[in-house]
Amino acid sequence: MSDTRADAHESQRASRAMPTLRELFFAFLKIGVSAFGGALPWARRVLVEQNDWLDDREFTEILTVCQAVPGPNVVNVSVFIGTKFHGIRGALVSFVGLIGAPLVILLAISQLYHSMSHLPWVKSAMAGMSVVATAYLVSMSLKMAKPFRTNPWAVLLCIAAAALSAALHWHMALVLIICGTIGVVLSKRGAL
Amino acid sequence: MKQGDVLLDMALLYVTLSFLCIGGTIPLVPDMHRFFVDSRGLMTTSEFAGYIALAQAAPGPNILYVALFGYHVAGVTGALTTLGAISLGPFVLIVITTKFFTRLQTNPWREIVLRGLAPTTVGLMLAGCAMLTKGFVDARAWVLAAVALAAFVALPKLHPLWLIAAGGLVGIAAAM
Repeated sequence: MSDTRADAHESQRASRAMPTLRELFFAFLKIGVSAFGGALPWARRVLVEQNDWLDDREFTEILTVCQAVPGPNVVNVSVFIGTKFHGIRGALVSFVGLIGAPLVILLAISQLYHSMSHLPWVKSAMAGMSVVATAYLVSMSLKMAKPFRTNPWAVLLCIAAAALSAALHWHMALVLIICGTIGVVLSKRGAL
Repeated sequence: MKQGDVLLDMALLYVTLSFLCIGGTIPLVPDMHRFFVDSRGLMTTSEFAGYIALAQAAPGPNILYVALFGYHVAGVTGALTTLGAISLGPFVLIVITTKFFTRLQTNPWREIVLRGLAPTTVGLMLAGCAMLTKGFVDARAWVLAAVALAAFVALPKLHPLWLIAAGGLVGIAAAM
């Protein structure tokens, strides 16, 4: 690499431990099963604090790039980090480590739910849980809106996107193309 | 519809959605709802919302609710189809991205695009939430939602699992 910044990064890396495939698998397994309601804080804890495979800055940079590339964020992070250390094999190992165990657990829970879903109290519990989970998603949206909520253009754009999708039933791709383009143009001009 | 047709249908849906998935999968919920509930009639809104709640309450990345949709429709094959379809495109993109990482890191457009897309992403998330409220049984659900939202905002450090579990207990107590 000719980039001096990358060179500095490489030399810094040399002093750091390099995970084996097996270590990567178990690290992501741990992230997967301990992640309740959001895996990213756990990813940071395991990769940066417990194992020292990345420093804080690297982790944040990887996260920002992974957010800019389409795809579920934590899946992107696992594939990125797997590839960084062991190429495509590393990516597969990290990905399977991350989702394998939680997938089996979740399907088992779902099966249990199906075999009991005729019971009135199970239906009631599920109704209550869905309501609270919906409220959780609203609170997450509000948290994500924090950086721009004082900007009238951004708030207008946000409401427009919500209305086009929820009230007028536009397809998400169309909303993303139209509102997203307006947003990027505004952002380029420094209005967002 | 034949089993193979449904699988192909779901795979196409998620391959398409995976490329639009910037800032999480929740903004994609309205489109998933349209597919599974409105146009294909594969499940009801309450089942749809229930799966999202289950995935939030269980360990693991939240996107696993897409596996539950697939499981509902076609068992384990369905779960692997939806999960595979939403992961395949991003997987390839990320493997390619690692090669251009340093260049992308310093590109000023990255910040501009992320900032420009944020309001739309949040708007679509809220639309997804509006969709989910269609499964609310009655006025009591709205009261519970308001209380829960206030709790989430007031206690940002509290693990969401506890409040979701509490919601289950309230549901049982109120025979919702």
